[in-house]
Amino acid sequence: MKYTSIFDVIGHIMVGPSSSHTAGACQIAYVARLLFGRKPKEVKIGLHGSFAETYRGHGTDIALLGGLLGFSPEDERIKDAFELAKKEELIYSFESVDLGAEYHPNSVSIELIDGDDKMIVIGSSIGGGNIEIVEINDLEAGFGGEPNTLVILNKDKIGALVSIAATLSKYKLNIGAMKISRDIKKKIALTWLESDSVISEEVIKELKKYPEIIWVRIINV
Amino acid sequence: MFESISQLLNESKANNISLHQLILKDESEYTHTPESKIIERLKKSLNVMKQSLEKALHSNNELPIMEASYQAKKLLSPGIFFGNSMKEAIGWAMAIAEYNSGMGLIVACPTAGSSGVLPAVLFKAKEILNKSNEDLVDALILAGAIGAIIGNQAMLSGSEGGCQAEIGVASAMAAASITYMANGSHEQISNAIALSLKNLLGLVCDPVAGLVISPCIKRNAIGVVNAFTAAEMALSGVTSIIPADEVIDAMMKVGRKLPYELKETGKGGIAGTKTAKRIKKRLFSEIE
Repeated sequence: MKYTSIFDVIGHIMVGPSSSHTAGACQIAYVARLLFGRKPKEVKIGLHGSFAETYRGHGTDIALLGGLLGFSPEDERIKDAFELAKKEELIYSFESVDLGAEYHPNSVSIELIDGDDKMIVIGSSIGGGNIEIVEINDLEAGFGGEPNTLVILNKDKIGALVSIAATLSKYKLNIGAMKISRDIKKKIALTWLESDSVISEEVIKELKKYPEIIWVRIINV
Repeated sequence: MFESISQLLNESKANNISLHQLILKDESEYTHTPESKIIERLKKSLNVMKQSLEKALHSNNELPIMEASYQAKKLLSPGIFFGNSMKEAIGWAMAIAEYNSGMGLIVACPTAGSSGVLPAVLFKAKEILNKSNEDLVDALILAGAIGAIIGNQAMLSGSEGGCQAEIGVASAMAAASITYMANGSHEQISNAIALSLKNLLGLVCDPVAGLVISPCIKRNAIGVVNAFTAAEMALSGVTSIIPADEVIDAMMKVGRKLPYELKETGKGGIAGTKTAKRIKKRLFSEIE
């Protein structure tokens, strides 16, 4: 069943005009900023497929910039995103890109930059305001930005997963979905999981203690 | 969520529990959320709907397609063929839809493009029937369940099933909820859903230049009239020969059969007209 709750049908509070081209776009950018972990100094936005064709009329560009400023899809400040980006001195650029036929027609590649720190997030708006974060820094992701998602970049070595599992078990977090993807050359792995209950800051603190963990983020949207 | 309209109605009858209570109980169990929290969230949705209507009536939105701007306000004058109240209702629906097109904050129900129908119908029915805010919440609960059932049995987006799956479904949700608000029987609610969906069966999704503006905004008005028509018919005892669940099945099949050009691609139908093509050309040359 696709629609399991009445709020799947009447609960989406969002800035218009389009759930996929506006709300979904904003959500991808908002999650990208959460993944980056702080305010970027510069963002380079690559629009793919249908996003590239109609982004202006649907406010996709405004919504993306709004999300990168830290506004969720129901934040009315989205409308003034261009002006606010200028005020916050966020450097931005938009260009059309062809990510390839395997990507959903409503996809975007977002590069977030702060000095030497860079992250590239590719996300797709898959309909009704729902999204999928497809890649983070070339590592396959595949999560939807559901509440209580934990995203971890860790060193790809024995023990990393044990540390994560031990912490989750200590805080009695039940895992609904999980995925690991590895970059064997760089010896890093992206691990994400969805918990049934709220993930506290304590969990983050604990996870950060392990030397195998490079960074941890919670998506609690 | 309930599998079908008949399952929902039968379960309510068999257990002698009102529809909104049954849906609320199911929602609470399934999502592990207390009923009070669910009602709180529904009230929040209703508040956003109210705010979007109020702001829409006071805003001066200029839309990317200029000639589509400021149309809703023209409907706030006395009715010529319609009573003032019905004319106001279609004005409200268009106002919210215009507000959505201009990046206003709305509640998608079931989609952003069809977000004017349900609030306009619910608020007008509440006014006509002199109902309370609690009654409004109960009606909204039913609307949500009807939308979810149709979404699971068919689809809820123009790109998958044409406008029948957006304005058509919004209208069916609205028709069911006001028939309920007017103390209609289970059979009458089922008839209201069948009648409203049948009336908009096959409606294509053909937005000019691919934008949620034209003909989307104005179709919100027809969604309102259709919902009131279906509810009025059902409450007067008019029956649909074809049961609601079979109409939903037919809608799904029609939606699948609609060609690509008529499913939100901005190519066929109204989007394929000479004027639409001219607007599209103008629009995209202006912003380059």
